[in-house]
This record gives sequence, C-alpha cells and structure tokens, in this order.
Amino acid sequence: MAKYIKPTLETKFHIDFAWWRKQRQSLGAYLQGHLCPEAKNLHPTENQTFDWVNPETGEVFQIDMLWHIIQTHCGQQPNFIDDSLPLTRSIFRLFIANDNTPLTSLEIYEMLHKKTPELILRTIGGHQVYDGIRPVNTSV
Amino acid sequence: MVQRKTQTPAYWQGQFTVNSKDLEFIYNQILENNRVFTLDEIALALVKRQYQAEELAARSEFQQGKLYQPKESYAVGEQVVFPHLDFAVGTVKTTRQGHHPIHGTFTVIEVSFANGSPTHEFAANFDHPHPLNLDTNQSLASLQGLMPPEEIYQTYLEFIRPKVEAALKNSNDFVKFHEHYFLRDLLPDFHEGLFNIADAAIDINNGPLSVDALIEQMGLAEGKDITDTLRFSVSYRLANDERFDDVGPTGQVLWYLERIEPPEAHHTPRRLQLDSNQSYDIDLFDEDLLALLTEIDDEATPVEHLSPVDPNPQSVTIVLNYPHRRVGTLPLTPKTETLFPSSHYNPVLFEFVDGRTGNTFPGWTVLNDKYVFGLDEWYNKNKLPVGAYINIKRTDNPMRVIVDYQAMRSQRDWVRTASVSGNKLVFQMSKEAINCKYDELMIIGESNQAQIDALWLNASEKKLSIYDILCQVFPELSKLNPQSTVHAKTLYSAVNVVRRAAPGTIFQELVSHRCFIPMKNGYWIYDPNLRD
Repeated sequence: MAKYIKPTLETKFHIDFAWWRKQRQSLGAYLQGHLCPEAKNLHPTENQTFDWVNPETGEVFQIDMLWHIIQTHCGQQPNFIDDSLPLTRSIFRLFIANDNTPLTSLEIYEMLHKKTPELILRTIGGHQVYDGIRPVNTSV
Repeated sequence: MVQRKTQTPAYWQGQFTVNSKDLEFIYNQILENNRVFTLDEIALALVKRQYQAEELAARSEFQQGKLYQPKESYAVGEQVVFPHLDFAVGTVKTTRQGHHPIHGTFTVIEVSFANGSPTHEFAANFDHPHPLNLDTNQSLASLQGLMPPEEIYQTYLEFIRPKVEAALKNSNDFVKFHEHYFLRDLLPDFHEGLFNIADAAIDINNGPLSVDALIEQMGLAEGKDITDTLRFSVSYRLANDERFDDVGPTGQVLWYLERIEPPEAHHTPRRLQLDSNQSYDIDLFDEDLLALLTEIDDEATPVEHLSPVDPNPQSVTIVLNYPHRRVGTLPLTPKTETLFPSSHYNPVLFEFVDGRTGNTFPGWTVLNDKYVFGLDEWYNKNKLPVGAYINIKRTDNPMRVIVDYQAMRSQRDWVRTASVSGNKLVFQMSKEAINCKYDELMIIGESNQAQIDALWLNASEKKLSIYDILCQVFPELSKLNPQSTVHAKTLYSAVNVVRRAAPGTIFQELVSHRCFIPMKNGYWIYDPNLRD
C-alpha cells in the first residue's frame, strides 16, 4: 500500500480516474450533471468512450466521451465555473476545463479566486475524497 | 534507484564541499577554454558536474529495460522503465489500438508491474508532443520533473557561492579580480616599465582611464583586438600595484592613481564613524519613533528598519545632518544610493553637477561605508546650514549627479545655535542669515566651530555615553521652547554635534529612561529629578 504523505500547498492534485474505477462509480453518469443545456442536445450514444492520455504521465484511461464534450464545449462557456458552484464542484470543473492537468491548491486558488489556498487544501487534501479529486501519485 | 542528493536542500545547505578534484576540474575548464571565468560560471559548472554524475548513475539503471516515452513503440513481453513513476520497471502484457477525438489513433500498451498492483495502460506510438518524450540532450532528471542545475544554483546560490569562493581563495592556482578568475600559470609576464607608462598616462589624462585605454597606451594591443584575458591580466596586475586604484562603478573598470585620490575615498571621516555598539530594540519604539527612523536620512539605520522606498527615483530630497555637513558628505541610504554610481569592490569617482551653476566637481561614492564625499566646498560656498534640504537628481549620464538646495531669498531667521560653555554644549536662539529651505526640527547653527570640535574630541576621548549627552543637551534645548518640549529629531541633530549616533540608538535611550517623558507627535520632555 502506498505510504500516506500529508498533502501540502505544493502538492499537485487531479481527478484520479483510477479512483472512480476502484469505487465502481460511473464517471459518465456524474459527468451528465456538468453538461451545459446546449451540449445536452449533442449527447453522444450512451457508453461511448475514448482513450484519454494523461498529459504528464502518458497513462491511458478509457473514459466517457462526455468528458471531451464538456471540456471542448461547456468548458469554454463563461459561466462554466460560476461563483454559485460549491467549491469541490468548481475544482472538478476546473480540472475538466484544463484536461485534468495537475494543479496545486495555490494554483487552484489563483484560478478560482474562491476561499483560500489553505481551505482548498483542507478540503481536497483530507481523507474524504470528493469527486475523485486526489493528490497525484508518483508510484505504481 | 539512484538517490539524487543534488535535489535536496540538506546537501547544498550543509554537506556540499569543494574538494581537490573539483578544483582540478575547474583548473582544466579554465585551461581548456583559455578564458576568464566568473564566480557564477565556476559555481554552476561544479553544480552541473555533480548533477551529471548522478544522471550517469541513473542512466546506468536503464539496462533493466527500455525507457518509457509515449512516442516509442513497445512489443509484448518487453521490459519498460517509467522514470516518472519512481523508475518502476514493468512488462508489456498486451497492446491494443487507442483512439482520441483530437489525437486520433495510437497504441495502448497494458503494463504489469512486479509489485502485483493492477495493470496500467500507457500511450505508445503517440505522435504528439508530450513532456515524457526525451530530446537528445534532455536529462532523465527533467523527465522526473527534477530541478535542472541552473535552477539548483539559483535556489542554493547563497550557500554554494561562499564555499566555491573560499576554495578558490585557498588555492594558489587561481587569481581573482573582482568576481572573475583565471589561472596564475596563464598570466602573461609584463615588463615593470609598462606600469610606469600606465602611471604617466593616467597622470597626463588628469582623470581615470579604462583598462582598454591603458592597454593601448602600454602598447600591449599591437593593433589586435583586446581580449578579456588581456584585460583581466592587466587589471589583476594593476590591482596588485599600490599605485593604482579601480574607481569605476559596477561593471566598469576605470584605473586611477592612489596618490591623487582624497583620503576620504578610502578612510571614513572620523565624524561619520560610529561606535561598534549601535544596537537597539525596535520593538520598544512607538509609531512616532518608527516613522522618524525612515524620515531621518541616516546611513546607520539598518535597511530592515526603514519603510520601503522607490527603487528607481529620478530625484530625492534629504535633510543634511551635522556630521555630513562638517565633512562634506551625504549619506548613502536606500533612498539615495540608487542615484549614485557605485561598486562593492571600490570607491567610485563620478561628477557632481551644481544644480544652480551647472559647474561640475568630483564626487566619490564609498558604498561599503555608506557615504558620498566631495561636497565640503559646495556646502561652504552656498552657506548651507545643518538641516538644509538637499536635492539629488539623476542625469542621462549615470556618472553625473545633480546636487542642489532649495534656495529662497536670504533672510535672518531665529535659529537654535550651538556653542560651548564650561566644557558643555549649550544652545541659544540667535538670528542667522539663511538662504535655503530647511527642516526646522533639524537646523542647528554654530557660533565657534573650533570650540565644538574640541568638545567633540573630548566627548570621544571620555567616551561620554549617549545618555549623558542627552541629559546635557535636553535642558539646553527645552529652555528654547515655552512648553519645554523637544522633538526627537532635534535631539538626534543636537547629539550628533558632539557624538556620532544613529537615530535608533538615541531613541533607545529616550524610551529606556524614565527622566525622558514622551508627549505626542515625537515630542519629549525631560525631568532631571527622575535621572537615573
């Protein structure tokens, strides 16, 4: 089992697709809730997937095509991440918009301007995992 | 897996040393390149040397398998090393075709790892830019997101530089001029007579000469381009000849003759010299005193006790204090120092430009002792009192600085005037002819300079404490005011007539003794009955 290292403000986070798989939760179903009204009409055939390539590690995950639609269409809308969204939902959308490129709490704060870097770290760096947002693991 | 010590602060902050093999390496570097090296170049070369040794060790580990790069292709059964996953070694179990809506098709390899963890999939034959694709000259460390040597050096520079500098200093093989190094064995021999020519050339020029000009005069160029090595060799030789001094600002070497330099270029005037113990506890000061630390232009106040200033002002105004007025200097503080050309290696000769007449006269920046010299005659000619506002302004030429005062129609003002009575400093109000604007809290006239000088010497010899002097001058100053209050700035100005003291040191005495009672806005009263 990987050793637990307490995350710091320098720790990079991302959406851990392996976590979604391990939890046997449907990322596709969850992504439905992030579709903008316009994109709902573009909804592809159910269960259509693609091979997402991790921009830093090259690791491949087969994920729902909704991810790509949200990233390339909804993520470009100005109100995709608006002030009324809860913090974890905003962070989740931030990672969709940047194609899951890892970010530190400080970087997340600089992009969202929500709460504080410390509060962001306490939220996503604790033992409770929200929406699969976890520290980047550098071992297998 | 190779542990990269060069990536740890503990190594650079504590364990890093420069050994004889490192010095041999530097020696060979300079020898092979046959050029002058800066301290930064040498230190960075040493960092790179250690970094590359680790890189070599890490690369040797790749005999276990092929390095993972998304652009490469991998066969089933092939062993692959993943540097970004702590150099984990995996085996390709299967391959399949992958598809991405933007990147198109590529290969997906399924990899199993020896630790029994679930298989992972990775992109292969991936024909798109990816940070894991290694260029020919790219290091493994960069793949792991580790700090490159340049970043290591910038991060730990304050620890690395002094150790490299000390090692070079302790070796006879290297010679140094400013922060440039060369090999002693490669220095050319110069005939002694050439330096007599250099001496005469500067003398005739009646001003400093650049090293290039001297090389020309000495006939060392012989129509060829002047190399940095020749510049270094001549400068090194001149720096070790007591007749010559470099008087150029940072980045510029200008040679001058020591015999025609004023003593103040090398020796701090006694009036400006502070006792070694000028410490004080800033936490004891109230807001008024803290503000005064910045307001009073005194080079003795540490930078960390001053409010931030404009780092690149076009002009500044300062208030002249007694010690600087007497010796013809100005303080170099964070407020003033960027206006003057300076160097950490040597005093710098520049030109003052009289803001009224446009006349020029020589000035000297003595950065290490924090003063600018050369204003004695100008102060006297313009009859500027202690407390006068002095304007300093930059020009297009960094070697010319405008100095001016805030002129007004000459009038006779009531001014507190210092004199000596019964071996003590006394003050009275007297009418003085003043032709400039001044700080009313700082202005001090003097009736007999020779007597004050004698008193200053006496105070110095008797080592009178700041507290004793304050107790002497406070009643003298308070009697000039119907409320008997005296401002802290006035006390600073008066104490400095007989003893050089930093504002903080004087304020420390004010807050430490109950005979000094604070009023509002920086004013104090004195109760002799409460004297310790």
